Amino acid sequence: MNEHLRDRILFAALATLILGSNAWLLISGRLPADWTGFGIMLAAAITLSMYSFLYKDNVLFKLVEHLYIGVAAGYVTTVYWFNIFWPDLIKPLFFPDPGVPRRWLRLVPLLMGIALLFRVSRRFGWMSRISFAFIMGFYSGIAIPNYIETYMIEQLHFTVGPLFVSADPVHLWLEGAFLAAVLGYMILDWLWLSLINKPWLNALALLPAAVLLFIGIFWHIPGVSSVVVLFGVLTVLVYFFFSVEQKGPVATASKLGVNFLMVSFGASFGYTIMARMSLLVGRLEFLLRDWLGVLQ
Amino acid sequence: MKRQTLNRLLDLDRRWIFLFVLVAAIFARLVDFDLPSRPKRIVKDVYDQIELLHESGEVLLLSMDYDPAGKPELEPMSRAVLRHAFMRDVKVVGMTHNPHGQNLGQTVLEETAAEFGSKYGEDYVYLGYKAGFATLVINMGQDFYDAFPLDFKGVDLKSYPITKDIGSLSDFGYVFSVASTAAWEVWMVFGSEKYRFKYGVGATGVMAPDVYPFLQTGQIKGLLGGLVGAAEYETLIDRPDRAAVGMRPQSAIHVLLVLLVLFGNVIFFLERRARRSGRA
Repeated sequence: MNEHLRDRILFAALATLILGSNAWLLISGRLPADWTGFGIMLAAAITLSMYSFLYKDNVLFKLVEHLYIGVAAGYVTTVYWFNIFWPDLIKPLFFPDPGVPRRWLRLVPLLMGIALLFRVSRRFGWMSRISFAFIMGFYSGIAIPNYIETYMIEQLHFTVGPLFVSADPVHLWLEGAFLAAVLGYMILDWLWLSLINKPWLNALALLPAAVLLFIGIFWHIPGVSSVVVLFGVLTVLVYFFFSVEQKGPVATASKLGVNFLMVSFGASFGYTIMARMSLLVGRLEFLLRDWLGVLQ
Repeated sequence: MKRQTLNRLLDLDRRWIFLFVLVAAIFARLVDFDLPSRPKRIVKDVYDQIELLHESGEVLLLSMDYDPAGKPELEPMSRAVLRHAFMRDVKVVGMTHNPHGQNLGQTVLEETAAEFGSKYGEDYVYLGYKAGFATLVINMGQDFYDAFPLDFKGVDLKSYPITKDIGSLSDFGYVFSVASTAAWEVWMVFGSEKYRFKYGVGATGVMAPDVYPFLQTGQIKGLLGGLVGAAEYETLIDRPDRAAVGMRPQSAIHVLLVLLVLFGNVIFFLERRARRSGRA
């Protein structure tokens, strides 16, 4: 069978399945014949149409994609009107409550907002630059100090945090010995990696240090996390330091930095998969429970 | 295995994988089995903060900054945190930074409040959506009433017992943002760092790794990351719901994906060996 014909048959079958299932659910009384029931049927049809893209781009997918954009735009416009334009701009400016003075100052943001729209005009496009300049200046002013405080000063504070927090001398000695073992091993590893250039030997040499660190983090031994964070920050910074030739100890630190980055990317990727699958689980829950009524 | 077969397996149409994932998810959802759920320390931190609110009588600000696309992951979080709050008689003020999320926030707040017989105005208030993002947070920190003189129904906030004494964000006992956008970051950068209130985050799985660095520094107190975070919270409050049940298909899919990764690697190395021996 030619591919084009097969696809047409498949999508006709999907459309029939959606319509047939909805008709059956309605006739059998599993879904109420009111706006709630209609909403569930429509949502199910849209969900299945969206997922049909996994097979191939098709007309059903295109249809609901455009529908989504239209609905979202319409919804947001309504929310903006009732939450912002009317109560914060139009009403206080033109229709204030009795006894309340008009807020003439609000003409300024109104005019600046209108000026932004002139961006589409070649002749009057310059007017939008005034508003953009205001937005950029204002936002830079409030953002730069706050971001420096949050992302640099606070983070730096923890990166060089205390290694020992315990007040008990026995604990202190034990933690110190453990940290010394981990650090000593890491320094030896570093020297080893700088001298030997066999990847499997390098990996083998790093393994005990990784196990020691894992034990430290798993049992919440204070200071271990600080050491890992500090070590990770420094090696990753070395990796991104391009002004020095990457050879010898610098290259080794750089390679370790790459490994830290890889672990971070792996964690992000794992979480991303989990997130995407959660969305699938959410839609399945809707289809099986709310639409088909298979689950109670 | 023949090289031809190996090549065919390496070029397996991705649609088969989609189908396997679908079958695994449906199967795991329809078959009833229990999976252990051990709440992580970062989840327990959120729980502890709500417990502290119960003791101090302070108000929780729950910002439900998500849209319908983030609903499957984030609504169970909002629901679980709200159930805990209402269960412990903690007063809640709800809002959103996301225009698409206004009705989602309202619905989950009203449904959860109805479960516990909590009353609007006495036990909870919903502010709705307001534009501004960073500037709104700063405005709320400087003068809460100036930022939100009215709730989403248009009623004066001074008329409610929960909100009449709130002058700034610092007056909230705990601020918790359930976010599918950068709203969690805005609350931290322009809110908690400036006005020094306790702040926690419920984030989608995609965003959760970005939040971790701020947990260790104490800038964020507690994180619910993805559906698993919501499931762990449901376990903590002993009210398993959609997130806890969703862990079954989620786990089945994860196992399938790990097997597929292993399978792909094995086939890759077998094919490479077959290719090399073919050349020799």
